[in-house]
Formats: sequence, structure tokens, C-alpha cells
Amino acid sequence: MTAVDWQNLVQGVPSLLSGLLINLEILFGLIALGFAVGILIALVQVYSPRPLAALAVGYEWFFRGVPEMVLLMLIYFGLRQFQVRITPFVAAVIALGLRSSAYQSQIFRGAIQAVGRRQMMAALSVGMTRLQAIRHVVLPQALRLSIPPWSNEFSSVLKDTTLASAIGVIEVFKKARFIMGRNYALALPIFLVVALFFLFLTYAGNWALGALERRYRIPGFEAKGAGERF
Amino acid sequence: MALLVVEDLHKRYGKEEVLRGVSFELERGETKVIIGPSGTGKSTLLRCINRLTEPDRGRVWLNGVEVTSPRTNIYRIRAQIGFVFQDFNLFTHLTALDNVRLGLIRVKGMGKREATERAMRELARVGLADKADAYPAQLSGGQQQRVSIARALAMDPKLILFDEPTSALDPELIGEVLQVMIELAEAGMTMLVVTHEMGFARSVADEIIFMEKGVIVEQGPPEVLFTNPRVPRTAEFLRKITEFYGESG
Amino acid sequence: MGKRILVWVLPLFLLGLGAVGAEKYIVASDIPWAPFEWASPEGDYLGFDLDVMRCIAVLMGYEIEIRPVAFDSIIPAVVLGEVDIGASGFTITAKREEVVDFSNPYWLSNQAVLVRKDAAFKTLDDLFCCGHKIGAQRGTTGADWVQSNLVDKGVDVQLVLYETYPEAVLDLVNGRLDAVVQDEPASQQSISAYPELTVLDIIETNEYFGFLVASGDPKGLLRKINDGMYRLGLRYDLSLPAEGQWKVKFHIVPGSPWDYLVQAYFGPPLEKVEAAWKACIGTLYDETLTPEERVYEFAKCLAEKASG
Repeated sequence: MTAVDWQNLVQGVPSLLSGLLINLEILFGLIALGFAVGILIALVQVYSPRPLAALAVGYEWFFRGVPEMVLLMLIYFGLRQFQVRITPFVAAVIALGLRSSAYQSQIFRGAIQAVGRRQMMAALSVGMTRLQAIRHVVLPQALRLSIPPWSNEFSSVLKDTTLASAIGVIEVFKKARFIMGRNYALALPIFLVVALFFLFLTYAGNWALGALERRYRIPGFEAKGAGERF
Repeated sequence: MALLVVEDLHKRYGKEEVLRGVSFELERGETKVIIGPSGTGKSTLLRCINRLTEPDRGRVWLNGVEVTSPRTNIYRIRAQIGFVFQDFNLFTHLTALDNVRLGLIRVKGMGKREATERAMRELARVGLADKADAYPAQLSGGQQQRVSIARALAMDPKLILFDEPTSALDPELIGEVLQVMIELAEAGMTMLVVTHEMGFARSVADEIIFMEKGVIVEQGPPEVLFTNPRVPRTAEFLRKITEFYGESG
Repeated sequence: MGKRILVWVLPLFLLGLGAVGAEKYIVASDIPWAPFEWASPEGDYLGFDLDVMRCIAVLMGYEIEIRPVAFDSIIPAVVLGEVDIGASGFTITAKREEVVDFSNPYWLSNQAVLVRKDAAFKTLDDLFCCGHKIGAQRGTTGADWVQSNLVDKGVDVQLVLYETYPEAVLDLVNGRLDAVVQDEPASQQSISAYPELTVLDIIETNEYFGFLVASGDPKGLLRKINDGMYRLGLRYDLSLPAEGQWKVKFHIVPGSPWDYLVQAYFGPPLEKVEAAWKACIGTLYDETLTPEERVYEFAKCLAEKASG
């Protein structure tokens, strides 16, 4: 690489960072959507009567079975068919968010089941409604249990945000392509830089989630293992 | 009418009929102990009383209100019935204090200060005021069970159901829990206890109910059952049980 | 995220109310394809197509938003009405005319065949045989030419398609391709970036570039674009045969904005153009000048700084 190439590379970094910001925006949008819908689907699957629970299973099955790219196209072009004009950004958040919700619902469902029926029974025995029991007893425990598998999902969808470029969102991957298109010598270096960005974000994210887990850890639990919870 | 009336309860799990027509009554202030071989539906009976398990047939009244009626607000009923589980079932993510407080705040709508006062009083009553900030995983089995009794007591119940409260405890911890239960009985709490602790049954129960295979075989005051039971099966069972568990409490 | 929502809600709002205020049109372009459109390292979109669009917008009194769209998604986007104008070095073809309407032509291009200097091809015949691999950008007339004139006619070559032109060039440089077929101007850019490449020959395809809008020109844009180009200094000698190839000769008014734009974009290296653009773009939006002045000063500034 020549001096000019290095110069171009450095000049391109702010552009990459502004693209990365878009990825982060997509990430937070999709994770929030995935979380809200995921918890809902998990609760429906665990606590609702059979027919409704079956719908939830069907939902999960669909969004986990369709490839992300296809999902992006379906949402983007599908909604436009129904005269709903959404930007590629919004379509990406919806498509990736719904997909994440299917995976997150699995995580939450596993966690809720790990908390166990007995906690629900104890809550009911003092007179709580199911909803109260879910809110004050089951979910607080389930969410704590969810953190490790959830941080996997986080790392995964962070990377998926680059797929938004397929429907025209100008995020970091697209920006890297622009830079590469202008100076072909930067093809490899620019993507190494992008890779470094993502490595850093993944690391930072996992660190933050680890801190969250430690903050909300139930004291005495690890010491006894699964001891008293039977 | 008696405080608790149970009439002809039936419950079937798949092919197996676990409760085959159980009826009895409990007056205010009475303590009755249910004994019998494992798997005879004793736990199921307790859970049917506050409809944690729905009975197939039969009716239950608490203080004149029909618990089993579909029109009844079952949540309000459950708040009046304390339940102590065999495996304690404390809320693991909450401290002892929070465990006892939760029902007061969320179900009874009490303010935080009032709820805390009340909760601390109950914890003191079971001898665990100093463990208020401990988490269940940091407590011994006996302590956890006592907290769970405090949790039930905090709701000011008309009746407390105990489902084998000491069966999951190490022998040296059983005593502290039984002690609390004895004090409660002597203070006039209405209690229905399923247990193998014969010593406790003998000294505290107003009446002992012997159940086997989903029906009540015999019921009567402890002196009668222990010394002169009507049904031979009762004598047989009592002998066996005393062999295995001794007379503690 | 607030800005995103605003960007989304605003056009909806305008669409719903019927666009109150200055009209705004969306121009779709496949970035990068130097020197017609590309992104500077700082992320500005510049290029001949784009600045012509900007100048016409200033002259005719409307606003544009430049949106990067993949090349073969532009025409579908125009047809569906998601974007208003396609400005991406589109060759005017009969096939495309079936679904979109073109402006007057603005550029004449032929296809250049790029090869490595050390490959020792002497003529096109040396290249068009022997299982050689020829690369082209998907959906372009270059790709079509190779397909219909070589592959479909049984000539022993392999057509390799790429999503963007620079990727094809990269493969050529790395030895994975034997040649790349692409419009002339873009090929010139590649050579200045990679001195080891050279143009083997020119295939005269007489391709004219045009800007495109949806069939029927629902927003009346073509007239504005054609007027704009005229006012920028582009003139024609037009002879239209009954069918087949257009025969157009361009006359560019010397010292006109069009003249300067051509000088700026077809010759100087990209870095100089970018530096010039950064320095001059303010002039284009200087409200103290008339639209004609703004356009003229901008183009002149660009040409002078880029060549200087």
C-alpha cells in the first residue's frame, strides 16, 4: 500500500463510523422489537391454552426457517405491495427484529421453564393472579437465567445488521464498498477495519452483558449450585 | 358452618383416581393432621382446597363461601388460605423480607412501610428477624421453611395448609420448624397438616385423619387412633410409621 | 433513532398532503462507478451524472436527494415509483425504453476491452477464444454485448458477472480474469488507478447514455432535464433513422458549465476532483447568486481546481 492508499484509508474511517452508527441503530431497534415480541411469544407458548400456543409455535417455526435475506425482501417488498411505504431501514429493523424474536422466544421459554411450575404455584398460593406471578416472580428469575444465551443472540444479530445493505440501507458494509470502489487497493484493508470494528463491538457488548449478569446475580446461588431448587 | 368444609372431592390423573370422595370439616382454631401412605392423594387434597389443582368433582367452602364455585374470586380465597410447601418454594430472587412482603404489597395493596413492618413482625415470630436480608440460597432448609411459614402468616390467613412441611429437611432441622407450628396451633391458628411426624400429630392435633387409596379410612382424636383405632388398617399403619420415623417433636 | 423516524415520516407527510413547498425528487445512482458517480473518502457523492443532476435541479428550481441503489435495482425502483430519476450511466436501449422513458442523450460511449499489459493479446480475436474469462458488471450493456455476440454465438469464452465494476477490475488485476468489458470512461479510470492495465481495443457500440424516468413521465421531469441540459451548454446534431441506432453528434458550447464539468471529470485523477469539489460545492448553493451564476461558477471552479 502506498502513502496515498493509507491516506485514503484513514480518510475513510469517519465515513465507516457514520455507517457503523446506522448498524447500531438497526441493532437497538431490532433487539428491542425481538425482546418485546419474544417475551410475548414465550409467555403465550408456556401459559396459553393449546390453540393459541400452537400459533406461537408456528410463528417461531416460520421466522427461524426463512433465511434472513429472504425475510428482508419479503418484508420490504411485501409491505410495499400493501401500499405501506417504509424505508429500507424500517424494513430491516422489522425483518431482523421479528426473526430475532423467534430465537429470543426460545431463550425465554427455556428460562421460564427452568424457573419451574413451583414458583408459579407459590405465587398463586399467596393470592396472586397469573399475570402478577409472571411479572413479579417468574420473569425476574427467567430474565436472569436468560442472560448467557441472550448474549449469544446479541452477538449474532450484531453481525446480521450488515445484511440491511441488501435492501439499500447505507450502513458500514455499503460504505466500505464505496471506499473500495474508489480505490481498489483498499479492498482488503477496508474490510479488515470493518472486521475490527465488529470484533470490538462484540467484545464490548459481551462485557456489558457480563456486568449485567453479575449485577443481578442471586446471592448464594452459585455456592450451592442448584442445591435448594428442586 | 365450620370454617372449612370439604365435600366429596374427586380427582383423577389420567387413569388413576387419586381422590375418591373425600369429605370432612375443620372448625375455627382446630388443628387436624392427615396421615397415610405416600401417594394416597394427601397433597392433592390440600391443593384442591385452594384450587391450585382443580378437583373433578366435589365442593369446598371457606367461611361460608363456596371456593369451588366458578363465580368465586379464587384469588381472594387463596389470599385467605396460607400454604406451606414441602420444598419451601421461596422466591429465589428475593430476600427473606421481600418474600414475606411481596404478597402484602402486590395482593393486599399495602404500602411499603406498613408491609415491611408487618413482614418483620412475622419473621421475628418465626425467629428469623436477623435473616431478613438473606437470600433463600443462603439459608438452611429449616430456615427457608420458617420463612415460608412467615410468608403464609403475613397474609393473615384464616387457615394454613401444610403439605409435608418437614419431609425435605435434614433431621436436625425438623425441630425448629415443628416448634413454630406448635406455637401456631397453641395460639389458635386453624391448621390442616399432612405429615409423617407422629409426635407432632399426637401432641398437637385435635383430630387425626387417616387416608389411604383416595378415601378417608378413619378419623378421630389422637388418643383414640393411637390406642384404640376402629379399623385394623389404621393400627397397622401407625405401627409401621412409628417404626420408621420414631416419635419426634 | 429520532432522525431516522423523521426522515421516514417527513416524505410520508409530504406525499400525503401533496408536497407543499419546493418539490423534491429522488435520484437513484449505482455508486460507485467513477467518474460518473462515486463516494469520496469523506462520504460525499460526486461524479459527472450527479453534478449534472445537481446543476439542473438548481437551474429548474427543485431539490434532489441522491440515493445509492444497486444498478439492476434502479429501473425496477423507477418503475415502481420509489425513486424518480435514474442517473447512472444508463445506455439507451430499446429494451429499456419498453419500461422507462429516457431523456435526450448526454454522453457517447463505446465499450472498452481492458486487459493486463503482460497478457500479450494483440487483437480482440486473440482474446475471444480459448475459454478465456471475460468479466462484466451484471445488467450492463457490456455484459449484454459479450452474451449476445460471443457466448450465444458459440464463441469459446466464459462470461463472469459481477455486482460492481471495481470487483471485476480487481479480479482482472489478480489474474482471475483475462479481460473486462466496460464503458470507456470507467475503463479510463481503471487504467489511471492500475497502470498495469491497458485497453486492448474499443468495440464500437455507439452507446448513448440517458437519464431515465418512469414510463409516461408522470412528474414532468424529462422536459426539465432536457431544458436543463440545454441551458448547461449541451447541443445536438440529431438524425433519427426509422429504426436502429441513433446518430447523434454532440456540440458542447465552449465555456459553458457543461464544458467545464466535462473537463473536470474526464481527465484529472479522482483525488484532485474530490479536493476541487469540496472547495467549489458551496458556490452551487450560494443564494446570493442567480441560478445561472451558481451553476456557472461552480462548474468553472471545479474545472480550474481539478486541472490546476
